[in-house]
Amino acid sequence: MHIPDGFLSTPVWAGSALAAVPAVGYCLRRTQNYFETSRTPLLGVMGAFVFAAQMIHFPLGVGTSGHLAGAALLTATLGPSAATVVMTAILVVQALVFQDGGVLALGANVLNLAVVGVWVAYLPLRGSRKAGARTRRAAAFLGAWMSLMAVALLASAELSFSKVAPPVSLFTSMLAIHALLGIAEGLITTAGLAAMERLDPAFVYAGELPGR
Amino acid sequence: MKRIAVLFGGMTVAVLALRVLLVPGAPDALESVAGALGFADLAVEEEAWSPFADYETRFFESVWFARLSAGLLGVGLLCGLGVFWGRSLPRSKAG
Repeated sequence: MHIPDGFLSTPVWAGSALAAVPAVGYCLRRTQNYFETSRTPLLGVMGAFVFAAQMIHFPLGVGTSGHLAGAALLTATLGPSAATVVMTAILVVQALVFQDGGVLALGANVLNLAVVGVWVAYLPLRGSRKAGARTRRAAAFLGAWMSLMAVALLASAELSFSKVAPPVSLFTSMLAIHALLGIAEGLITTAGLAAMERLDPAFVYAGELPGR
Repeated sequence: MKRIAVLFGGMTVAVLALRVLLVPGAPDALESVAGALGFADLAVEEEAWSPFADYETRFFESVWFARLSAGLLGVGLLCGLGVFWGRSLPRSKAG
């Protein structure tokens, strides 16, 4: 979900940018301190994969389409701090090179997808790190779904504050569509993680050192 | 680690190929909501100031080449950023 320019009022896009900059800065610093360097090859590979996957729209069957957001997948493989920075890089490239998502709305898109989307996905993933494979997969599905719902909720709030539409209609429509999209997001995320676990069972869900 | 990188590298190539072949479909979730609630017109309609707007390179007449080259550019940029950033990370936290 990339908010274009024109949807958000000036206080909303400016406020979102002001909130996003320190959040991404914090994650950048945290990655410098805590990222497992054995995973550095994945920084580029996962960023490129999520970028490519976001270009593929699949029909939802209700006159709309969706695409993988990828926040949960990045979080599970890179840890939340690195995932935030990689997702920010994706959004910046999409806005500045491909004109996908507004330049003024970039702060809001980063705040929604790269900060809130990633860290909400991290909650169930972190809770299931030492659980069995089934629980971890359920947590990945839940993380992906919750992530997309949180992004939709925050975007709805930003649009409501910008007074583009009645809040009740906005929240209802956005959350209903994203509840459906979240199921697809969860299935894709779970399938990706299952494939990774098969290749290296010790790999997934350890992207960031615990308790720091 | 290498096998996982190869897996996702391969999947990236497959997704790019899919992107080249697929015709863009229905509007996405936000566009649909904006259309249904009547605020779609608020989106600023900018001229294509980027030669890669809408994930299609302007230099090619063939839609396939236009999409493929734009997709490769994005993938290359993000890979490059990842490698550059990865090299700048301290080497003491091997997991």
